[in-house]
Amino acid sequence: MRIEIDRGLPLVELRLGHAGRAVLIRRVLIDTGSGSTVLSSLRAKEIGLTIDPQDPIRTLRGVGGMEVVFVKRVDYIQVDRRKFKNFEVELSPLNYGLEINGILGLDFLIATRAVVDLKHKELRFGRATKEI
Amino acid sequence: MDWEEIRQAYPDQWLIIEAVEAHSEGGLRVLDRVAVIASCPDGEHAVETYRRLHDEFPEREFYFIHTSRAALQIEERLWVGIRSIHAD
Repeated sequence: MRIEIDRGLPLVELRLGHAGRAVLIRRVLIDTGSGSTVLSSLRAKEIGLTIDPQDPIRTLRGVGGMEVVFVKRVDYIQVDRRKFKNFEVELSPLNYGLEINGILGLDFLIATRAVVDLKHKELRFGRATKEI
Repeated sequence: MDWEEIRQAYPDQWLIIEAVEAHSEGGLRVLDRVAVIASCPDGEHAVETYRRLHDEFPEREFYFIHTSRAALQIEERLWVGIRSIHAD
């Protein structure tokens, strides 16, 4: 997957799939400073993935302030042709004034054995298996 | 109000609540004193309302939550946050 550097930030695109539907999500930030993966609840809503009363709620706290998210286990996240199944994501109506639709956090990057190659501006995955 | 009082006063509905007093403990955000800000017709409205309030009052601590939940149980994660040299 080609990494686009926009305004000093590394962005990729991915496909979020759940319950037989999928949506392409553009402008997702690669962020090793985020322990978890957050995606836009507005994009998730396009495939019918919305908050349920018993979904776990988390608060992300740090230098950037505070953000409340809800948690879903989705069928897959696909980057290029690689599909990573049964992955837990946090959903939030992200609004950072940066036009990003998600954050690919360290949990995803570790689980997929990701290599962020900044010389070639490419995100690769080190494992042959399609499942996490 | 505490969570149990809120659940009795607003049964089975989506709320926006604000933590008036809160602390962090053992990986959880514990809300010691809570105010109810709004009742919402469904979860999507609750998330949208949260977004609007959070944008307008970033220093305040709002949550979207459904009162069918027996406990608040809000996990806390650390996040460095986005900083771009070109960000507005």
